[in-house]
Amino acid sequence: MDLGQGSSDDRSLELALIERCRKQDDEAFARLVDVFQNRLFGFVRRMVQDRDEAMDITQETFIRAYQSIARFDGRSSLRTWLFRIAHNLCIDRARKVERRPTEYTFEGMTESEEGFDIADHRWNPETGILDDELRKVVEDGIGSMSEKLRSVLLLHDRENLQYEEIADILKIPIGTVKSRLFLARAHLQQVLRSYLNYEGSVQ
Amino acid sequence: MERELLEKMLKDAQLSPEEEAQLDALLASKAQQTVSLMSASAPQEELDLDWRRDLNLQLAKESEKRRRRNRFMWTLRPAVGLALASAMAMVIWVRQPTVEAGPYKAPLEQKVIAAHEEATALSDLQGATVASYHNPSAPKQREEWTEVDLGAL
Repeated sequence: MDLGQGSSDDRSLELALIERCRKQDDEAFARLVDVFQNRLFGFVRRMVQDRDEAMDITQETFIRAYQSIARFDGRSSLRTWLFRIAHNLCIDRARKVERRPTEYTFEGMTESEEGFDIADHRWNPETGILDDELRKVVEDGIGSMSEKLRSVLLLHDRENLQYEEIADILKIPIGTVKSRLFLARAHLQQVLRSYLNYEGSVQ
Repeated sequence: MERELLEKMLKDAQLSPEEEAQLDALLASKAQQTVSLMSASAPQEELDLDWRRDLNLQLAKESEKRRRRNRFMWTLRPAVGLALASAMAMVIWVRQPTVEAGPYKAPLEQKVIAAHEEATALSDLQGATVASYHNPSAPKQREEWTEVDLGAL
């Protein structure tokens, strides 16, 4: 059973698991944690940066889910519900911590949004492998954008959620999801372009 | 890309269907897809067993809390039911209508006894041949002697 992928085949299994959890079957809830813990942690880790804090928020997500699973109506998928709880906790935390994300003007975007290519040994698009340095640049780029852009980028590009699911989690229109996704990727492009330009000038 | 579209996106403004189609094309562009692949390729970090043990402990506490709450509700529900039933019974009992004995204040039995005692007392005073019942509204008897009376003498 791979509930985390959200395929239609797993829907009945998911509903059965939810039903068992509602009946206070702790073993069923442990199964739910097994399926989602690393995915939720991966999302939260990039939303809050600090590893310990991310671990606490992931834990809090499951505790909140445990407390309220009896009220979960099953209209949205389990993963949408869990990501919504995790996202809300991340936003609550972001409100407490004053953080100033790096703002890009996206000035160059109106002239040429094309022509972005990394054709060197550090990035193999076939295998999707990044070398450590480039990976750090990507991680820093993700970390430097605002929460609203980052959450969309992570949910779409890392968690493979559909636009509709993301709109449901973030409570925003689908058009806004697409706009934010475009801007988030554009932000990352600018970070990478700056890095590659700097690399080129050094070499 | 048009500046107007970019500005709308930066303001989270609603896009027209044409603009959304344009945005779909932009999202599918090579530059955007490259960045998408790169952001997806960062390795997944995993949680350790200590984290899971902590979570299990917290969930066990929550489970115990829930059990206690359920037990409390089990005892609370009948108690609340009983209290409600008692309150209802009290209300019904207090508001029950009283039976009026009639225009007299005293109960009927006392009136009967009083009438009997009065009649007995009159009988004692006047003798058995005198009617104990005196009706003031009855026509007065004539007190003069008639010829019939005199003849009888």
